Amino acid sequence: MPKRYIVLKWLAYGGATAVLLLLQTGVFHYIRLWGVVPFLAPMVVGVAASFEDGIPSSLFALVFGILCDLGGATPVMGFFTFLFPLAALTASFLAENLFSPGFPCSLVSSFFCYLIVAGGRIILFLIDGETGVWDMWYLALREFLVSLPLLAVVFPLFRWVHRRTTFDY
Amino acid sequence: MKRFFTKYGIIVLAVSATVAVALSLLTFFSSNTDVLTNLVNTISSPFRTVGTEIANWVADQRRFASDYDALKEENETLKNEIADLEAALRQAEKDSEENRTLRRLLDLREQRRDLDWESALIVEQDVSNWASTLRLNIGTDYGVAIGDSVITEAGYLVGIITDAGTNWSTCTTVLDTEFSIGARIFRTDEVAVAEGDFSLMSQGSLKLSYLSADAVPMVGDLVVTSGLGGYYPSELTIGYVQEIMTDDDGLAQYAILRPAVELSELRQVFVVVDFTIVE
Repeated sequence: MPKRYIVLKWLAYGGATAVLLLLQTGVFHYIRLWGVVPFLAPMVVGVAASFEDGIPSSLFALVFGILCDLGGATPVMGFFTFLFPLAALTASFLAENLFSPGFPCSLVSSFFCYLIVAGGRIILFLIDGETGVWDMWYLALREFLVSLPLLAVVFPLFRWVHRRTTFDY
Repeated sequence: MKRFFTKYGIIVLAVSATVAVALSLLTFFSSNTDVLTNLVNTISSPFRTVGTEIANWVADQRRFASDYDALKEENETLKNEIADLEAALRQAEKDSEENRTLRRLLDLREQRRDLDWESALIVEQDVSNWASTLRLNIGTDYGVAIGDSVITEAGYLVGIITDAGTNWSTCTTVLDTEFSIGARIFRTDEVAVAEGDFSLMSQGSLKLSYLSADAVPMVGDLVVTSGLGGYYPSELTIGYVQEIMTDDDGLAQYAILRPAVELSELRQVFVVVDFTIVE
């Protein structure tokens, strides 16, 4: 695929992500269920990785992770920068080896992304001397379940970007 | 699997780890908020403000009709409370006058309580489910600095500024696990530490730790900032004792505090950029 198409493809993914982040800030952030609000970022990484190859999707996750670290409430600087590419590689591995791309694949990929990010947070809390590890996993589960319905928004959007920007050469 | 990790996995992870460490070092060696974080947040801050304003307007329209009856009822209750408070105020004025006379007789410095504050709007609440933070729409260009206290118009403590950029700042609330401040039980003058706790955060409470062995807190006790060390103003209301508990080892006790401020209802706060307090 010519380089300019690759650049355009990832710009389109970036644009779709920006739209999702705007929706997160303006709409989803006000939907509070079980004491948590939806968290889209791991889903974005997981779904993008389920459609695309490992290297580009993990590089996309790296850039997205850097922006999340710089602009969001990161537990420690560099947290998302390291964990998002790791999550993208895992999701990409699942998509390439265990599932064929589609909704179930995006669902499983997203689940592993949430698991990796939550695991990272819990390790940091435990290092910091916090107790109540079950409360932490319970929060992680609620966060995943509350975010899960938004896969109905993220999956079609990214599938549309994937179909519009993928050509056979 | 082997191809997957040898071909690109290790390289990407190594690059990610390097960038993550570089970002961490950049933050670690910056005395204030680092340049990149400031840049990203300065650009995104106006967009966040617009998004929040629209969402708040929609919420206000929705709540307007349902709140009317409740407000009428609350107004009646408040009128009665004002009558009681006016009586208490008259007594307090007499006490203050007596206090001033006695201080003059003892040649003590006059009590002063000057708080310089800047008004701020909350742009975003609880950016993450794992922390309790508020994003404010003012920053270093208004004199806001890391460590400043954030209060409500009633003087209730909301939190502490933990990050500040040009036109934005982050307030870590009293519920967050990173929050810790010297506290005093108003009734007994016992000094302790008010700190966030992960398990209590989701319940909207915090912990009053390091109570001395002979401390006798009671449910309903008012807890305020101690002001010891001079880092934070004294006498800011943190909350009320909700429950008294004993540590797992059974040796020490701690109290669970209910914050005086309802964080989810907040729209506007005040950042104390400077203060002078003479007790």
